[in-house]
Amino acid sequence: MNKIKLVLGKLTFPNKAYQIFGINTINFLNKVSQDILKNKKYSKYSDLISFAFYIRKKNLIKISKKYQNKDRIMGRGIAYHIPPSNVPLNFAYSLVFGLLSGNNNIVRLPSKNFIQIKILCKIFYKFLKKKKYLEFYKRICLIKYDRSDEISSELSKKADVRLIWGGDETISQFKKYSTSPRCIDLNFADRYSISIINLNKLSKISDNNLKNIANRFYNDSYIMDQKGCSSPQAVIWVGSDKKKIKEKFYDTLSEIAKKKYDNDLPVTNNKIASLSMAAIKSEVDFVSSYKNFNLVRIKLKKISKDIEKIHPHFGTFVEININSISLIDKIISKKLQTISYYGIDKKKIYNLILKCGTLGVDRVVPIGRALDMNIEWDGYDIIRTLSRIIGN
Amino acid sequence: MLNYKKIFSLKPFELNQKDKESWFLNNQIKLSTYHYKKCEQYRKISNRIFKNINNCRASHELPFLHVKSFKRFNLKSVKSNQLSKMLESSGTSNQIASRINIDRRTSLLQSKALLSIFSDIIKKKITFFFLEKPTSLSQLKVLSAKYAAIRGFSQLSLESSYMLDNENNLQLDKLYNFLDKYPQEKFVIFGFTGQIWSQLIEKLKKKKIQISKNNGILIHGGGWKKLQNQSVDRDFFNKNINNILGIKKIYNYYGMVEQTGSVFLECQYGFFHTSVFSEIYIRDHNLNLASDREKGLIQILSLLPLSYPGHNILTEDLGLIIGSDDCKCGRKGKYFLVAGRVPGTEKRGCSDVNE
Repeated sequence: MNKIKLVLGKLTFPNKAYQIFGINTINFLNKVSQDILKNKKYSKYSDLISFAFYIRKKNLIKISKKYQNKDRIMGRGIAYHIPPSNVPLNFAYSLVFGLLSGNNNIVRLPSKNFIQIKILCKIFYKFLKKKKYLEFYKRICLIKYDRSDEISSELSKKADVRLIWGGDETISQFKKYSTSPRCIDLNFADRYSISIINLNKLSKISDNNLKNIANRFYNDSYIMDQKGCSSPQAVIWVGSDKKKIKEKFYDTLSEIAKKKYDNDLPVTNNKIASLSMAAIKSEVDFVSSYKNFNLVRIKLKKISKDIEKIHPHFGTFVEININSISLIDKIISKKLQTISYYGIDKKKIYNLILKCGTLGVDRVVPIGRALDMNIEWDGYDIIRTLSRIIGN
Repeated sequence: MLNYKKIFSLKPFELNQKDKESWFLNNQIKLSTYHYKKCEQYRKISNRIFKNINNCRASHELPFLHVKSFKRFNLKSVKSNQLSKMLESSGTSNQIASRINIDRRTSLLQSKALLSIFSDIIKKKITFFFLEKPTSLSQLKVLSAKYAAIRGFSQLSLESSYMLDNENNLQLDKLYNFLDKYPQEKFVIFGFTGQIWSQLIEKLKKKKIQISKNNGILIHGGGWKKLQNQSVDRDFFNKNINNILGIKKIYNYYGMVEQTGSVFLECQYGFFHTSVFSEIYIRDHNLNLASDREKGLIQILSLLPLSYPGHNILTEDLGLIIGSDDCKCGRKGKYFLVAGRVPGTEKRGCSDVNE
C-alpha cells in the first residue's frame, strides 16, 4: 500500500476554524514574504518572488478591504488541496487561500522536486517550529504520496472543502470519492484563454511601446510553454485588418522568443507533433505559417467556437480578425477562462459578457497579467467559497 | 504512379547524391500526390501545414507526417478490404504502439527492397537463424516490428529456424547441426541488437560457450538504447560477436516499422547509408535543415509505402549527416550516424493526470 509522507505538520487538526484575514495569519505570511525577499539567492526564481510580493502585509490588507463583513466570516474547517504536479508554486497560493479564509490545511505537494518547493518548505519549517507560530504548525500539513485511491479517498472524507486543481481528469477522479454532506469542492477544470488586441490602437503606438506589449504577451504565453490555463492560445484582432502591424507584432514577439525561449529539439519535436495532431483532428479548416518555428501562426478560415480545440502550445497562436469587439460572442464558450486585452476598454468587455450571457470568461486582465494568481479565479471568489458567513 | 520496375533495376548504393536528388524528388512528388488523394489525414496535414506539393522544388519541402501520427490515427491509403497485415511498433509498456497498415503490394515492395539492399551481403538464398520465439508468421494478422523484420528476411532464406523456445531458452541444436554438416557454408543469424546481446551473447558467456570461427553473418537492428546503460558500444559488441559466435561479418541497420524494407545499412566504417529507396534529412530546432555533422531530428523518406502514408516521416530519433558519396566503403548517397532518442519535454501547465 502507498504511504503518506509527512513533509510538515500533522494530519490531526484542532476542531475549529478561524476568522478570515486574521491578523496573525497576515503577520505570519508577511514574515515568510520578508524571508524570501531578503535572501538574494532566491531572486532568480521569479515565481517565488511574485509569490513573496503577493503575501506582503500591505497587499493582503488591501485584498482584505474587499470583505466588508469579515467580522462574521470564518473558515469551514479542513481544506484539502490537490495542486497540479507541473506548476511549482500553485500549491503555495492554494495554501495561502486556505489560511486567509480561516481553514486548517492538508496540501498534497507535487511529486516533482521543484527547487522552489524545497525553499518554501524550508522557510515554513523554520517559522513553524517557533512557539510564536504554534497556531500555524497546527493549521498546516504538507504531505506527499504516490497516486492512491485509498489515501485520496480517506483524506476526502476528512475535508470540509476540497480545492481540486489539475484539470478535468483529476476532478473526475476526485468526484468518485465520497465526502461529508457539507463538503464543498472548488474544481479547477481544463480551460482555454485568449488575447484581444485593438489593431487600430496597436498601429498608433511607438516601436518601444509595441515591444513592451510584445514582451508582456511573451510572459503570458511562452512561460510554461503556453500550457498554463490562462496562457493565451489565440489572438483575436479587433478592427479592420492591418497585415503589416500584425507582422510587426509577431516579428517582435519572435525576436523576444529567440532571446528568451529555449526552443530546443525536445520542444521542437513536441511542437511539430502537436501541430500535426491539430491539423489532422481539427474540424475547422486552418492554414499555419511561420518565419521562425518559435512562433507559428494558425489562421482560421472562418470564425468558430472550435478555436478552443486548437492549442498546440510552445508558441502557436490561433488568430481571427473581427471588425468589432461585439462579435466576440461568436468565439467565446464555456471553456474560456481568461481574456487578456490591449487597447480595449475593460468595462466594454464586461458589458459584452453580461449582454451575451455567455457561460465562459472568468477573468479579464490586461496583457501581461494573464499568469498572475488571484483570489478571484475560475469564477470563484476563493476566500468566500472557502469560508462560512454568519448571517444576520 | 511510380515506375517500380525502373526503381528496382537500379543498384541500391550506386547513385550519386546529385543525380539522385531530382529523380528522387520526382518520385516523391508522385507518391505524395498519390497519398494526398487517397488519405484524408495526409491531405489535411498537407493543406494546413505545408506548401502545395507541386510547388516543392526539393524533397525536404514535401509534407511529412510526425511519427506520433501512426500512434494516434489509423492511417491508410487503400480500402480496408485490401489490407493484409498490420505491423506494430515495439513501444514500451506505457507507450501506445504505432500501427501500420500493409497490403500485398506494399509488402512485396518491402521484401524486394530488403533483398536489394542486402544483395551485396546475401547473394543467394541461404540458411537463416532468427533469435526469436517460434511463430507461424502467415497466420498472424498483427506483426510486431521484430516479426515484421523476420518476415522480410524470410524472403532471403533457403531454410530458417528460430533460436529461442517459447520460454525464451536458447535452442542451438539446429545451429550446431548446421555447423557440423557445413562448416564452410555461409548462414545468417538475425535478431534485434538488444536481444542479440542479452539472449545470445550473455547467455553463451554464462555457459562459457564459444563457437569456433565460421562463415556466418550477423544482421541486427533495432537500436542500442537497451545496451547504452550497460555501456555496450559498437566495438565491444562486435568484438564479442567475433569471440563468442565466431562470426566476422556483422551488419547493423537503422530502420523503423513505419518504413519496413527501405532500411539504412551500416557499413564497415560504422555509418548508415541511404539507398535508392530512401532519403534522410536532419532538422534543427527551427525545423530547418541542419548542416552536415550537426545533430538534429531524423526525417526519413521512402519510395515503398503505398497502403499507408509512411513515405515521409519525421522521427523522434536524433542523428547527424556525415556526408554524401564519399564514404570510404564506396557506397554513394548520404551517410549518417544515429544519436539516440530526443528526450521528452518537461511537463508544464495546470492540467495533469495527478501523478
